[in-house]
Amino acid sequence: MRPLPAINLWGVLSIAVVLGVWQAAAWHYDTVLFPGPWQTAQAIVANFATIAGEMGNTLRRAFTAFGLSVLVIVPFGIACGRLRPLGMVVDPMLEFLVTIPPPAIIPIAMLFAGVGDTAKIAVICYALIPGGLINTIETVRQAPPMLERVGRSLRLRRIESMALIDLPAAMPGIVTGLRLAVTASLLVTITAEMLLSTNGIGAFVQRSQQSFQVAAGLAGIVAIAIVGLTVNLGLRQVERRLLHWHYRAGISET
Amino acid sequence: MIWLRRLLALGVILAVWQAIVWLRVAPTAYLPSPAVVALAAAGMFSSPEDMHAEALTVLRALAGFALTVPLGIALGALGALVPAFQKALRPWTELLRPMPPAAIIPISVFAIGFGLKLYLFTIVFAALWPVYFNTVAAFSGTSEVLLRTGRAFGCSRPALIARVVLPNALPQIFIGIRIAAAISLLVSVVTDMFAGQDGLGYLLFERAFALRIPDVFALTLLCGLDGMAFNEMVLILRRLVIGWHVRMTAEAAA
Repeated sequence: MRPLPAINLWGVLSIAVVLGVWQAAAWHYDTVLFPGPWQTAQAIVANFATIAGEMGNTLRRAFTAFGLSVLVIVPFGIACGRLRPLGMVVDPMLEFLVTIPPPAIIPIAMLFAGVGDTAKIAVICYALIPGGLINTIETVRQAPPMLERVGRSLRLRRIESMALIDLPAAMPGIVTGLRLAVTASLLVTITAEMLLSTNGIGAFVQRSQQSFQVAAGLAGIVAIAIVGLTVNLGLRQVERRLLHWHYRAGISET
Repeated sequence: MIWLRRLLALGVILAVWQAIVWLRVAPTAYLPSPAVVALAAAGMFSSPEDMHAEALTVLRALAGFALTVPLGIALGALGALVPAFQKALRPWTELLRPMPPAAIIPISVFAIGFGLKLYLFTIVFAALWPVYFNTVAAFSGTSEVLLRTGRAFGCSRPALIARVVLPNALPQIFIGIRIAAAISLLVSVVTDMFAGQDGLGYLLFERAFALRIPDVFALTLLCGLDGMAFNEMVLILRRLVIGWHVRMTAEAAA
């Protein structure tokens, strides 16, 4: 049995105070344009099936794009970190690409791929790949040089040393980068859905508020917050499982 | 040297781009050649309407950024010095951090209307967290040796915070400030897209729907240039504020 986590009393108190003030203000103004926590809770119950379905669409897109991005980031990042000439060309390109805010390329994505899944997934991949690559490349370069020499004295070929040495050595940095990328993928997915709205939780929030159903919109926002929190907590667990050897050995110290 | 590499990378990007245009992967109407986009960019820089939009987006982003940084540092310092405050804020930071800024724009329009207020609110909402978390972490991580040294020199608690804790924390706080600058610009563009009145984000969609495609590419590149300028601005600010630290790490690395 693990000990129960201590309850954050101040946190509970602040939630109670904020919800109380919000509810009081909602009673005071008494209009559908300013729903309180109670109306929001009712809206969550009333729209539960829709919200869950739309959230499914959003998560499917976010994770498809995330998976595609990982397939690019990890092998290409290791190659750019290890093969100097490739890195020399790719580095400044990435430097420029990360400065374009991802939503700014939504109109271009729209021209090429319309408003369907492809456009949204392209925008998400664009948002994830440059940052993830930079992170991976840097981690590979910072690996202790001794590791590479060990590989050479074992007569590993280039590709073998990339898979057997660089990959595990860069794992901690890659995983940290990917954790940030998962959060970013949710963020960008929802933004893209709001602008290229067909379905998904972003489109739901946008639609409800355009038809003045503010409570339903808030319900969608609450759902986003809860999913975001759950994904973050889950990732921290995965990171701890995957990298327990790293945290135990304290390799980062040397 | 770094500029030579950047120039080389730019050349490679342009060559790949031109090659894709020649290979007719996409219709030239949708993927204009670099020369056509350069012409559109020249037109953009001499168009008062476009430059007005650029100024609005950049100035709003700067205003939001200027508000975010002191607020984030103040809240972070308060959080680190008063544990109860940090605990009371924690449920909100955990819930709001993964929230896409786009999701709260429609509801903010209901609550506070259009105009600069809307931009300030959405930017602070999205950009505050990196500054806050880095400040809390940096303040809490002040080494015991530094604190004791300060006390040995007879510093009172306020003097200790102003002359030991804050200067020691600034390098890490600047990591948060750099992220906040990028987010400020991003949210400014996204708010343009949703508020739908003016600014680069609005112009991007207007031109995309009017199928003035070279303009769309030129505007997207302008967003990238703005992003570079914001990054450069933070680096200059950093050199001004913590030049001593930058010089010290450079010496240590040499």
